[in-house]
Amino acid sequence: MKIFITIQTFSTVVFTVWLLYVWIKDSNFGSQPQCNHLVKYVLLFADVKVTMTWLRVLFIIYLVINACTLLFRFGVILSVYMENLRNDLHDKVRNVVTGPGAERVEQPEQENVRQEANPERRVRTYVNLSVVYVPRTKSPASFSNFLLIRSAVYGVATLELIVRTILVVKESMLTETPGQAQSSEHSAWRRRVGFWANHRHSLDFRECH
Amino acid sequence: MTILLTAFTPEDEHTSELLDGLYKSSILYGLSLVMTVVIQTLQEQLDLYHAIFVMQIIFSLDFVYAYGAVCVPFDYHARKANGVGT
Repeated sequence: MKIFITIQTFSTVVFTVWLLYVWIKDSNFGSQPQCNHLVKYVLLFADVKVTMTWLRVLFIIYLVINACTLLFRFGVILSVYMENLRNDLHDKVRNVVTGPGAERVEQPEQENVRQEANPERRVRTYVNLSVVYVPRTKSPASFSNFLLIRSAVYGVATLELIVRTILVVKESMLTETPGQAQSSEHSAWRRRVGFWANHRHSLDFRECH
Repeated sequence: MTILLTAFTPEDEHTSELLDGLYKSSILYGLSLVMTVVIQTLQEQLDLYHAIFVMQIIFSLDFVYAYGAVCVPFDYHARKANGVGT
C-alpha cells in the first residue's frame, strides 16, 4: 500500500505543477492557441470563457492554497514517520538494556498501543485529504448523493449543449455563410427562437477543429 | 465507471476488498492520465480544451481518493490474513 501512497503523492505534485502551468499560460497554451478563446465553461445558461482573467486568477489562487496545504500535510507525514522511528529506537534500546527476557512481556503492550494509534492510517488519510478538501464521507449513501447532484448538474449542461448544437445546425442550414444577409425565413426563425439565438456564437466551431 | 462503482458499492466487510481495488486502480489511472498529459504538453500536442477536460476527470478522481482514504482501513486485508486485530 505504501507504493500506492507514493504514486498518489507523486501524481498529485506533478498534476498541481502541470495545472499551474496550464492556467498561467492559458490563452497561449497548447497546439491551437488561436482557438483558446472558444473554450468556455457552461454554467447553467451562462458562458464563461476560460481565458477570462478573473477565472484564471481564481484557479491560480486555488492551486497555490492547495500546494501550501500539500506542503503542510507532507510535514505532518514526516513528523508521524519520525515519531515511529523514535519509538522503534526506544524499543531497541530498551531491549538491549533490559535483555531479551523482558522483551516477551513488553511486546504485546507495545503492539496494542501501535494498533490504537494506527499512524499508517493517519498518514494515508493526510495524504489523501491533501489532494483536495472533501467533507468526511462516512457512508456510501452520502457519496451517492454527491454523485447524483453532480450528475444532475452535468445532465442539465449536456442537455443545454445538445439543444444549442441543434440550433446551430438549424441556423447553418438557413444561412449558407455567416456574413450573409438574413432571409425573411431566417429572421422569422430568429424571432421564434429568441433567447437561444443570442447564444448562437457560443458553439461556433467553424474556425477551429 | 470507477466513481459509479465506488458510489454504489456498500461499505461492508465483504466489499472492502473491492473498494480497496477500486481505490488502487483509480490511483494508477490518475497517474497514467497525468503522465500522458504532461508528455503531450511537452510535445505541444495538447490543446486547452482537452487540458481542462483532463483537469475535470482528475478532480473527479480526487473524490474517490478521499473516499478510499476514510472507508478502507490501511492494510486491512494484510492484518486480517495475519490474524491481527480480529
